[in-house]
Amino acid sequence: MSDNHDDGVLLDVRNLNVSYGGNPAVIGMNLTVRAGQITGLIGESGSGKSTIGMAAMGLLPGYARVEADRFTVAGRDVLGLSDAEWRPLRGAVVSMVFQEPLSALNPTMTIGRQIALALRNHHTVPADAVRDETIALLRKVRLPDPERRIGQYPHQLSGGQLQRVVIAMALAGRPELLIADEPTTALDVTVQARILELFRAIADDTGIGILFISHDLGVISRIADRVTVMLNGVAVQSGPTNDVLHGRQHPYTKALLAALPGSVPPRQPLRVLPDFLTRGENQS
Amino acid sequence: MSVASEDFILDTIPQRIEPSSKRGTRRMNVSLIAGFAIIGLLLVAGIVAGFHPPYDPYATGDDPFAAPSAAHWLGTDNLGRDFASRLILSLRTDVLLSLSTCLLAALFGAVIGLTAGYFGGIWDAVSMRVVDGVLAIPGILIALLIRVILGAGSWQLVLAMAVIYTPMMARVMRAPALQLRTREYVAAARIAGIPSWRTVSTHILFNSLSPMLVQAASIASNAVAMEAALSYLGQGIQPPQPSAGRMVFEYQMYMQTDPLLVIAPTVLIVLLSFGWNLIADGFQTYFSLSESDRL
Amino acid sequence: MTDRGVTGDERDDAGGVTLRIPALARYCAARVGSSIVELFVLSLIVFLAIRLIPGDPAAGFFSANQSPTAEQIAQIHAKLGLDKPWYVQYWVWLAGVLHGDFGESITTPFPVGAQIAQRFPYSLELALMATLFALIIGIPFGLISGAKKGRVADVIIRGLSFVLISLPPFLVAIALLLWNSRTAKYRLIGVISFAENPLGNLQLMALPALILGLGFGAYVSRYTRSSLVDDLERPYVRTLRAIGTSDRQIAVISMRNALIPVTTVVAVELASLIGGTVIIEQVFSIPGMGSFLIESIKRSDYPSVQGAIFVIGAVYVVLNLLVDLLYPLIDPRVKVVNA
Repeated sequence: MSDNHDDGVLLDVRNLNVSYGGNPAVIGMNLTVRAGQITGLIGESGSGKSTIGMAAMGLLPGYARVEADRFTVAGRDVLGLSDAEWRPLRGAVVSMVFQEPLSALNPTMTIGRQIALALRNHHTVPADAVRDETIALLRKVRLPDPERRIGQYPHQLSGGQLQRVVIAMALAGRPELLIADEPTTALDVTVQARILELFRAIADDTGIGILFISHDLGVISRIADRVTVMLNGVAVQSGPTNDVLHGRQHPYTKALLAALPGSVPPRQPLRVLPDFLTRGENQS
Repeated sequence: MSVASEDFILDTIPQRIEPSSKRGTRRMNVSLIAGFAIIGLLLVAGIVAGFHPPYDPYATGDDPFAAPSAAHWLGTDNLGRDFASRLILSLRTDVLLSLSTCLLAALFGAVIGLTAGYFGGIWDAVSMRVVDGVLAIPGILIALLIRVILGAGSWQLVLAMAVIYTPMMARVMRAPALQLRTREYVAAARIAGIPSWRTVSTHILFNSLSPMLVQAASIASNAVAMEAALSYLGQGIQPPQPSAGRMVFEYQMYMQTDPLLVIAPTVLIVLLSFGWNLIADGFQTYFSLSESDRL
Repeated sequence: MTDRGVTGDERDDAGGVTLRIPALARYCAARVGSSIVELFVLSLIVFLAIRLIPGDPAAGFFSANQSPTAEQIAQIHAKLGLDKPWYVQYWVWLAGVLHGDFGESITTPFPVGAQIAQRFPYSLELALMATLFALIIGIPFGLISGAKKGRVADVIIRGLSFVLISLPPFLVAIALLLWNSRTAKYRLIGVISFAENPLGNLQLMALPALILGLGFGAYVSRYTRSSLVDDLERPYVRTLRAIGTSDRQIAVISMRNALIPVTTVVAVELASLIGGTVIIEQVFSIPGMGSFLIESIKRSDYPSVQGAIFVIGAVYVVLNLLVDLLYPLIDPRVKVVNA
């Protein structure tokens, strides 16, 4: 296991199967995330991509059944860990950023106290340095005026500012792997671009490996080094982003690309994604 | 594992995952069954036996405070009246009072709430202000005020309780009507030219039935307690007609010598209130409604 | 999507610190204003309701075998102000009430205001003590029940609170009196003046207050539980878990949030608490506002009934206002309700 870690492999998943009460959600999944690299995971809702993110955090509900030939996070075998065994890993080894920044934060706690909580969980810094470290973290995620922000409540910040706070919280425990589950979906386009730049900078500057989950091929194509395309719980194509976008393609990937607005000449109707869910059903 | 082997393209299209679980099945729960059993039993006992009590419940006898015997199952009261017969009669009174209150409140509340939610506008604004106003006054004050104006008695009591509980039903019924108004099938009915009263009565009433049932059972339970309290204060049911609350009031001075006279009607009130509350709770679970759907 | 809408990244905080104080002041002013309107409407309803009673109030001044002359009746009407139109009578009564003058009782030699002043403290003590018991009992049990959802403790607490909600408090009181009457071990009935014997006063008041507080506390517990269960399902809890926060610490953080809406249930349940005091006072022979009201109804002493109902209703309006004014202190998000 540790040999993989030395290669900089932070997430190594081989033949992962997840099911909820007998209903399979993820089937035979293979996935790798390396240090300093952003791996994109794309698929429509219900394709199982979020299940993989939650599995890598040990946050799947109790009734979920997880099986794999290999499932390591930063070189540690995490298959079958109990909730108590997961806790020291969460935040310190692997951390997560969620879709909706306002609801992802506690409305009745100041920004500063929420980040401080993340710092204290793993004793990242000595108690008397928590405030300074909080401000440093907010600087790192490029939140303007951090000294004032730490005394404010979530409802006083905009969506983009809040997402920076959530990212700061995720980074507070100095994790090696970051799972970003649709982190820009709730934001408007200009804010989205800045948050994407921030993720890129985090991967480049700190060497953190990022698993970037999205349904938006446009977002993935701008940020990811590698892409895995998911359909109905199965990875249908995987490879370097450039190869996936411009090389040989699985029919589903081709359909996804054709549906992008930029692929259609101006004043032509946009192409509609054929319903692969129904087609799969018809074949059965 | 080499990097190249991580790259792949599948040459098939994966099948859609079919969920195997059967969702949306509603099961009877313990609360609902127990509640229906208690209330059903008391209802039948009160109505059937209430019209054919073993003795005339008003006939006084010359053997006061008799112990339970074969002739008098629960003994006699301070005036020698058959206690079992009086208890059965008071059960009938209580059952009928709580049922009629609950039906009146459900009827008026549903009409006010559904029309307010469906039509909106001035009617909604005015009726909901009145509803909030009445809800803001402690129920017992309304009941005592009506008693002062109209005098004490059964129909005054039913009227007072209908005034107290109608706003609760109206509030609960308005929310689903408001929500349903925006649904496609209601709009479709409107476009198809179906009169609005029919839309309200079929689509909306049917869909509002679950919160209505929960609230109605809850009102019945409250009505039992309210009737008992008012009669205990001497301001509800008037003598010689017995009701459980009235009996507790009348017999409490003999509590030390003949505790059964107080215990039996107390048990009756508790069973009725408990039974209705079980039904309310059972419906709430059955329809998977949250605490906030109830008032 | 957020309800605030996520627009420009560096957009400054609308509704931020600078707006906080005026918004709060506006909220308080609006709330006080609407309470004054409520009190006004209450006084009008009570006044008009009493006017609807059939019969002549002057009858209370004569015994059944007297046959007063028209002159005598007119004299009494003039004394009671009944010869003036109703709105003048209302204004005179309201002006008096504002100065603590509730008029003359027609069956006792004491003015209504003096009787209310004497009885009011007992009812207030009972209601406040009951609320205190309800919170002391209801909140911890509700929190335990919510944090241990589905476990044995939760099932027991929910079962208990269900039983307590279904039990009319006056029946619990009578059952206790019945049990005590067998041994006559404790004095449970009546009151002791607080000025003469503070400890004795509190001791005697504790049982009626506890009985009232149990039912109220069951509601508080039930609501606290569902509030905590809802809060623990909110997305921020997942964020806390994702940074390695322990379940115990998450529970502590969530409890704070869960208690905010509990103030609402306290406000809603105040109405039934006031109803409860009227009855409990009767059971325990406490000479409070409830007993005063019932006695006055029995004697058809309408000026007293009018005064008692108005004061009990007014207490409810004022307590409700206090709960609402406390709300912004508990919740850091400024809650400005658009009236």
